[in-house]
Amino acid sequence: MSLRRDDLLEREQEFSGIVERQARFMFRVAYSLLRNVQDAEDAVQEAFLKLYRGDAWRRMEDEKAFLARTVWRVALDRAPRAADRMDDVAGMELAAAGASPESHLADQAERVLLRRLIDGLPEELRQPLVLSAIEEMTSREVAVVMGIPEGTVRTRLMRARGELKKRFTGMEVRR
Amino acid sequence: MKNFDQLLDGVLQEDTAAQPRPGLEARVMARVRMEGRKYRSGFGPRNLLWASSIAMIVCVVMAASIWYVSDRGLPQPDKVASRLPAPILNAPAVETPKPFVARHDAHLSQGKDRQHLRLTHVDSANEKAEHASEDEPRLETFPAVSQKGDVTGWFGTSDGEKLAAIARGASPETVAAYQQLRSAQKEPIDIAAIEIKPLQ
Repeated sequence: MSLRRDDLLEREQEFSGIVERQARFMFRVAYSLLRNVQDAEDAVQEAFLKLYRGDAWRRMEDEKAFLARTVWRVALDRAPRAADRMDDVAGMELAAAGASPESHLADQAERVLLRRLIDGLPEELRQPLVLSAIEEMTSREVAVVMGIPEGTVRTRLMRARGELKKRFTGMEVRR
Repeated sequence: MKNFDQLLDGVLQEDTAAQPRPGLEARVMARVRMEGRKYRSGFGPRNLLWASSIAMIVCVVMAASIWYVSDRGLPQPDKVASRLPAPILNAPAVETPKPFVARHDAHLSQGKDRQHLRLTHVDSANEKAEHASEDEPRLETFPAVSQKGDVTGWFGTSDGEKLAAIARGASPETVAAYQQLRSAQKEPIDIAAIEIKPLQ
């Protein structure tokens, strides 16, 4: 029994090291999808608990990619529906069009509009875009997280940027 | 459109630069330790799996034993007959005691009067009670010795003796039926040879 208790303590210590190293990174991955601090923290805790209940975390080859994939899946379950985000984008278009003409306010309005346009992208384009923006994530790691080939990640990144540029330019012209 | 690319990168960086509230790691580890305590206290999923498996096995064994006992509790007459040894089946039936009415009829045929008949009746009853007290075992003695093969001599005897006791108490018709059954079982049964014809 004491041997088993020692095993559990050793297991906890080993897991604690992973939490210390990767909790913030996992938070950023979750936040890129959820856009809410509380929701992102909850997703991180849930992901760590799921990991701890199993033994897969002891056999991780690429720790960062593995953990990012885990928390990404948890966050996906908690993410608001794309349709809800599109409603917000429609509201922001009107707000941006009626913004103050002063430059800093215009700049702020542009940022808000662009953020809403990102939220309005299809999931297959938005997810690689926000994941690649996290500084530690390479195209290969994004591919592992999403479970798609690395070449597909790059293609979708280009498409996402092109789509955003087209929509943003169209709105600027209207304004 | 260099401005757009810069603007987009800036927006994405802002989104990914968000920080959790202080103490995220401590909160995560607190929940992990709570989970670990569940394991230590024996309520981990692995222990629960073991406990439920053992409980299920115990239930299955108990159900099987109950079914087995209830199935064998009342043996069928055919099974009893097949287990009886031949000497028991061939043994003569026990002579049934003469009814009290026989002596009564004898007195009537001799033309005795009713008073004499009543006295005889009383005497016969007393005589029967004396015989009964001699033949029957004393109730305070256990196990009692018996010459009649009744239940008082049941314990300490073999299965064959028990069955013999049952057979002695049986009527001649029952014994005859057993003998008929035994003879029927001894007759050979013709089983036709199985022929498997090739498929056409």
